[in-house]
Order: sequence, then C-alpha cells, then structure tokens
Amino acid sequence: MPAPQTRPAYEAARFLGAAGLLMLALAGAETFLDPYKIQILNLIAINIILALSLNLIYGFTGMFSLGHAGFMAIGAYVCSLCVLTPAYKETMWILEPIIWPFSHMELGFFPAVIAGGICAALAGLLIALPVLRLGGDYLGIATLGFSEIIRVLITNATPITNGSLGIKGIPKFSTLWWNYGWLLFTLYFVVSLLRSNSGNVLKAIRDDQIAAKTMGINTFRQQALSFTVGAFFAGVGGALTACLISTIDPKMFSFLLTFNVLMIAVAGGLGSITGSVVAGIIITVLLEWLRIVEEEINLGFILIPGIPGMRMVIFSMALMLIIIFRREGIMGMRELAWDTPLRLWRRFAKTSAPPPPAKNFSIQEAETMPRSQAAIPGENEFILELRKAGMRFGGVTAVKDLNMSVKTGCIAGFIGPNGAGKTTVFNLISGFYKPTQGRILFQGADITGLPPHLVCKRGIARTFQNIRLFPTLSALQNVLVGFHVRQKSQWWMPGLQLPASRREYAAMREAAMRLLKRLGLDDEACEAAGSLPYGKQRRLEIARALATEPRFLLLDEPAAGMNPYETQDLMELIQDIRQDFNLTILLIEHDMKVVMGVCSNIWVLEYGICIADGPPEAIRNDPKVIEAYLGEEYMEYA
Amino acid sequence: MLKKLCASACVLLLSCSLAQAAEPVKFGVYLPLTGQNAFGGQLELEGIQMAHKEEGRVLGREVQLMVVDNKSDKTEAANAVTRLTARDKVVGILGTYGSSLAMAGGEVAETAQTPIIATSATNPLVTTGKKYHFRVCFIDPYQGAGAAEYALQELKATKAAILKDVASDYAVGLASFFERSFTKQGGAVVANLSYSSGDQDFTAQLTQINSLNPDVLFIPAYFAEGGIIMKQARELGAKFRIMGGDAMDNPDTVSIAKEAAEGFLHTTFPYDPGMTKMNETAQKFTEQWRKTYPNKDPNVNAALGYTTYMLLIDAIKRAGTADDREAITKAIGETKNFPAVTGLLSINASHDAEMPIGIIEIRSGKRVYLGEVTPK
Repeated sequence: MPAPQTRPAYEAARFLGAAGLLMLALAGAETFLDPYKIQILNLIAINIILALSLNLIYGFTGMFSLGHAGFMAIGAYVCSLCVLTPAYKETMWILEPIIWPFSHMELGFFPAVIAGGICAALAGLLIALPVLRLGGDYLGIATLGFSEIIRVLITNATPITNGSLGIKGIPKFSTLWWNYGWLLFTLYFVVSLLRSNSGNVLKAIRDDQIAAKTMGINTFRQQALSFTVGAFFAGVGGALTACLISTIDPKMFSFLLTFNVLMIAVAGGLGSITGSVVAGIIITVLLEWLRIVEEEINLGFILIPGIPGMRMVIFSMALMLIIIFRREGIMGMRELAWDTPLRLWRRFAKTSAPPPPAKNFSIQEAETMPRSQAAIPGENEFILELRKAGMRFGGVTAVKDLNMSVKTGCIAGFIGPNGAGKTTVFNLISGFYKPTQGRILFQGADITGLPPHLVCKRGIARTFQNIRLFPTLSALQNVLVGFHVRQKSQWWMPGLQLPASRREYAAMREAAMRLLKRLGLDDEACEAAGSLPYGKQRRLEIARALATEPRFLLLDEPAAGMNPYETQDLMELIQDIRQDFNLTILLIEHDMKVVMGVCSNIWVLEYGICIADGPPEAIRNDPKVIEAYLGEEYMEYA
Repeated sequence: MLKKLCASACVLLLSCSLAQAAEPVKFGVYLPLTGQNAFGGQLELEGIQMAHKEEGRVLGREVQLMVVDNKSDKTEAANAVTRLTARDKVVGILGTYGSSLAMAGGEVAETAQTPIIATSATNPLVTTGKKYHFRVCFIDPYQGAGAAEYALQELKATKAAILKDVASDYAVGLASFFERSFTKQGGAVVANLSYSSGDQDFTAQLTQINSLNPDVLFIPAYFAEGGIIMKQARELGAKFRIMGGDAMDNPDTVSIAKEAAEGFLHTTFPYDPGMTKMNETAQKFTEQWRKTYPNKDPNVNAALGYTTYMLLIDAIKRAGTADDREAITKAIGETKNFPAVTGLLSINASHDAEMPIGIIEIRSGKRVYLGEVTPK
C-alpha cells in the first residue's frame, strides 16, 4: 500500500486549527492561572524548543553534539545586549564601561531574538566547518569544548558582557504569547523540514553516511546545515530564557545546561518530535511538582521533615527507569500524529479504507524527473576509462596499472579471487578512494579524485557488497533519498512549505512509487528497509541507485546469498534495467552463471593486476584465469 | 487494615488543618540547599529555623515557613520565588545566599510586590533600583574598602597584589572595589591576576606576584581555592600577608590550608562566636545555637539567616499588619537601630544594612576576632 498522501490544504487547515486552539488555551491560561503556573508553562515552551533543536542535530542527523549551552549563551547575550536601553547599560557595567557599539545598540524584542538566533547559527556554522569532520564521541567532546570556550570568552570579555557579574534587569519580554509563538514556529519549521525529502536525507545520513554519499548527498553540507539550524533554534531558546528569568551570567551556561536539554531529548526519544514535546512537558512539570517531597509532610501523627535534594533523587531514579525499561525513550522514533486516535479507532472498527487502485505505469512513464545527464549513446564509445589507475595503502598495493575501457551501453563483469582488489576499483570509480596513480575518465571527463557525491551527480551509482540501505527509513524513503541529487528545491524551502517544493516532493513520491513498482517492491513501500527480506533489500538497493538517474551502474555482488530462482530473476532484471534505463552496468560477481550469462566483456583481477580481459568465451578458456580463479573443476563443470 | 490507617490519617490531617484555622502568617524561604552553594544555604536555613522556633508567632498568629530549595541555579531561583509569591502567597521572603541567585529571585518578587530580605547577597546590583529588595549584609564596595583600609592603616601596606577568580561575580566585584579604595588612599596595586573557579594550580600567578614583592595579597576567593592559594604561596616562600573576604569565613579554610593559614586575615560580618565584646542579641543567639545544635559552631551565615527572620517579624510588628505587603515593605525600609546579632542594624537608602566590618585573623589554627573597621 502506498504511503498515505496528505492534501496540503487539509494539512494547513489542521495546523491553523491546532494553532487556534492553542491560542485559546493561552488566553485562558493568562486569565485564570497564577504566575507560578504561567512560569512553568513558559519553561515548558522553551524546553521544548531547545529539545527540538538538539533532536534535529542528534536524533535526526545523528551528530552527537554537546554544545547546546554555548549556542544558548550566544543567543541569550546577544538578545540581552540588544533589548537593554543604552542608559541602563551605562549603569550596569560597573567594572569596565561597556564599549561601542554594544553600548548604543537597541532593538525590539522580536528582532533581538532573531539576532540572537542568527549569531548562534553563525557560531554553529563556524564550529561545524572544522569539527563535523569528526564523528561520534569525538564530535561530542569537540562541541563540549566549544561551549566551554564560549563560556570562558563571555567571562573574560567584560567590556561587552559585564564578565562574571552577568547582566540583570533584562526586561521580561518572554510572555506566553512569544514563547508559544516561537514554539509553534519551531515545530512548524522542523516538522515541515523533516517531512520533506530534506528530512529523509538527514535521516539517511544518520543511518549510513557512506551510503548517503553514494546517493549523491553532500553529507558534510547537509550536516552543517542541520547543525546550523539546530544552533539557530538553540540561540532562540537562550534568548527567550534570558528574557524570562531576566538575569544571565556565564555560570548559567555550564555543560549541566546542555545535559538538561539532552535529558529531555533522550527521555522523549531521539528521532521523535512528539517525544521531545511530551518529555519537555513531563520533565519540566515533574521537576517543579516533585518539590512536594522536599516539604515537610504532616501526616498528623508523624511529621516527616523535608529533605532538600530529595526531588533530584526521585527525578534521577525516574530517568534511570526510563533508560532501563525504555532505552529508546518515551516515544522511540515513533510520532504521535493528528490522526493517531482516528487510526486506532479504524483499526478497532476494522473499516480500513480500500487501497487506491493500482495504476499500471510503464517505466518510461516513470521518467518524469528531469534528466540532467542526458547522454546520447554513441557520443563516447567508452563511457568509463581507467588509465593506469592504481591504489596503494601504505606498503600494500591493492590495484596497480589498471587500464580498462567500458563500452557505452554494455554489461561488463569484474571477477577475481577474494582480495584481488575488485571492490577497491569500485571505490576508486565511485570516489571513496582517490587513486594514488593514474586517471579515471567518465564520459570523456576526468573524474579522478572527485568526492562520492559529485561522482554520483555525474551519473555513476553503485550498490554495496554488504547491503547498505537506510534501515530505519521506509523503502519509499530510501528511493526518495536517491532522488535528492536531482532535486531542485533548496533545503530551507520545505521548512517554509513553499508550494514549488511541495509540488516537487509530490512528483518525486509518485516517481519513487513507480520505480518501486517496476522492481516489484510497491507492496513494501511503507515498510522499514531494515525489516525487508534479503532478496528485496538487494532489489531495493538497486531501486535506490536507479533513483539517482545514473548513466553507469556499479553492482557489487548483486547475486550474493540468492537462491538459483532469485539469481535467475536477478539476471533478467539486470538486463531489463539496462535496456529500460539506458544504462551501462559494471558488476562484481562470484556466481559464474550470472557473469557469463549477462556480461559482454569481463575483466579478471588478481593481486590488483588485470590478468585478462575479453568476452566470456575467451575468459572461460584462458589458462591464466583458470589457474588463478576459475579452477580446473569449473572447467569440468562447464 | 490499610484502609483504616488511611482513613484515620485523613481524619487526623483534617483535624490538624481545622486546629490551625486562625490563618498562619506565611514566610517564604528560598536558599541554595543543594548544589555548589549548599554549605552557605544550609547554615542560613538553620539560623532561620532557630529564629522561627524562638519567635513562632507574630501579632497573635502563627508563622509558617515555606522553604524552597533553589539548587544554586538561577532558573530555579526564579521558579522558587514565583512559587512562593503566586502559589503560597507569602507575606515576605527570606534569602538568598549568592548574589546571582538573588538577582533572579528579586526580579520576580519585584513584580509580585512582595518584600524580600537577602541574607548574604553582597553584590551592589542586587538592590539597585528595587523597591521590595533589602538585605541584612553589607555590600562588596564597602567590604572592599574596609579590607583596603585595614591593609593600609593596620598592616602599613603600600604595595598590594590581587589574585581573583574571574568566573565569580563576587570575586570580580570585590577585587575591583578593593583596588579602587587601595589606590585612592595612596597605595599601589602591583599585580591584578586571575584564575577560574575549580583551578588547582596557582603557582604561575603566585611566582609572578612573589617577584613583585607586595606587602599584601588580596584574594577575594571561596575557601576551596583560597586554601590552596595560601598553601602554594607559602610553599613558594612568599613573605607577604594574605587577606580575603567574607567567603573565606569557613572552618574549611584552615582545614585545607593547615599551617599556611597562619596569619591569614579576612573581612567578615561583625559576628563571631569567639569575639570578646559580644552584644546582647549575639550572646542570646550564641547560647540558643549551642543549645539547638550542640555539635556545630555558630557561624555568621547562620547569624544572618537568624537576623532576616527577626527583622521581618519586627517590621510586621511595627507595621501592625501581617497582610499588607506595602506596609511591611515600608516598615522594613524604615528599620533604624534594630538590635541584630551583627550589632545595631539600620537599613539605608539603597536598602543595604549599615554595619562595621569585622576582621578575623587565623592564629594557631584558630579564628581570632581582631575587631572592627568602619570605612569612610
């Protein structure tokens, strides 16, 4: 069943309806609740904004960042410096006078918050450029260091920040309306972004960076963008905090603050927006509500004295229970949707809507996506040429002086014993390795040393020996990620729900569905790729590669682990897609039936050196090949 | 069985609440009872609780303490005061230790128009421009001036060096006021060096200071770092005297620095259990404390906590109402010569307490109260 399509008008109406309800609730809260409850409501909004921004960075893009306190500090200080009046600033900087231009700038609250967000985003970008090359825990440590540097800078830049004295008397602009307005905007932007193909791309990077690169994704750029957007909203959260509690100092922004935000994101579920929202509410309320355990409890006959710190003990225990029994957090990666209750009801009533009628598209019709690389067959006789290409790892020569020319439109094979360097050649062609010698030409142009995502853009796609799908994404989303490389919308367009990007996404979904149908995967479109059976994962990987609209397809052991029937199907599939998609295919395969059956030309590699090449018959009878790879038994068998 | 117990508990609870029907007067208390400032907050709370035990009623009504922990955290401090003013509707608030916490809490009390008396928040910014914020302690410029004056007059120092915690608002403020007073009165500050909270090694700064050969080193530090600084300074063979501020007034100062604390001087609030000429209130306080907490020495933080409570009671009595916050605020502001543990206490125009500065010297590991200075 295809993924549910939602009409944009309906969706907008739903969002506006929810926003209207929220506004009513806020108006009610403002009139009927006491300032204490309002304060907690305000904190909830800010905590959710912060958790969402961290979730975007960590949960959705998979970058372990501990720099949130730093971004918040920047947002808070910039905003505070903007909203204070020059006269007030004059009296407050008692150690060293405040310097120009900070002494004279004054902005309204809204532009001040934006300024705080933008400065935090700039800092985010600045740190992202050098640091994002690190991964995993190293990134965590580097960002933690960054936020400490920010704090030390603020402490010592007394003429700007008033040093450790901090800033007090910041006007309390952060009302319910502003905080929830910003929360709505954050939610709207993040949800829209994640629901678009940009969201698929970010999650793809989280699931498998290498596979994402072969899909033509500039992972570095996408990560930097996600990091910057996250930093922007963290800065906004910091600015709102400053104007809520009216005083800030550098000590506030210690790494403990980061951990508070991290706690909400983790407890809610990394990779779940509703998780952050739910956890933001629960944790903020719980922290205050638990104060009752610190008060004296008078049971009449016994007086239990209040123990300060008790609530943190209970709170920590609750968190530990969450981590022990629900490691993935309250929501995991799932989302609560508007229609969740409705869907539950439907399941209960067993009146699920009939699936939409399946339309029979031929694959030609599927080609609605613009072809950026409209290659004319025959333009180049050889689509791919390796000229004395070689790769050395330290003292080991994996590939040496490899010359090969693949004719446009053919299916070529690559065989050789294990460790002969076949996959290394694939990695050279697809840009994962930069050859230590020689050159690689694609369609006549030199692509030596191009990064994987640019190679993909030129029109080369590949699959992997050990399947590398994006396991948490659905089959459909996997294919959509492939479409990203030809996509026209900019990354920020979906965040603002621009009609052009929405139309493009709808078209892409349709094309992706047709592609899945072509490979017989349309029934599994909505299933998580990681849960598909092996054979279907193989086919999905091919579908995903085709989505990048390649001219040249590299298949790394496509038949590995398949039974004879599946292998037979695969051979037909390979020949069909070559025809339908006007491709040239190069494949690595150990199954001689496949290689001999589909390939028109074969290269044999041993110890990194090409020992033979030619049509299947010649290879089959080449004594060198028989000795090195095929073996006498094969000859008898054949 | 369980049901019965619950039922009887309910009945008891109900009867209790009925017995207290004459509405109690609610005092809010917000202090750092956990977190990095807990040592001060706990002592001040004990002082307040002791005062509450001593004078549990005002204008014929019972006083109820609503104690809220602010975790040494600004957001929590703002939350705590919001809770006290909005939910508990307290008539006045006592606390807090720590100026940055007081600034966060004070802002909330100001909008809620509830009087608030800080125990030991010494930063001048705490009460500036505030109508409802008072304190029973002196402020850092005054203390800095006192330390400078003592160094110049009594120690005959002409060259001073400063080593301050740049991450602490308290240290930065106090250091700057010491420097201003010291240079204004003819002294010279030869070095003004910094470190950051949590540092363990101060030898680099101390070697530089040593080479400049000052007469006195002023360290407006907390005892944890202050103790180590003294130790390392003596290990480097420093001959100069070392002076500190009221944050060094803690038994741990000696236990960390050991012999290196010998001759260390620090300013503090004019109360010490070992002082020779103790006023009547201080005597009463000390006796009471020894009875209530036999295993603990009274300390100035406890005395300040005690004082805030007694001052609020006094103001309510003078205002003649325990409900009108405006009248109580006015009464607090008009406090003149109130007999406090720290001497006769008056609240001045900037809502700070005027009192002399006590000087303590460590001699053979014991704190000796040398006397008082009143800076001009």
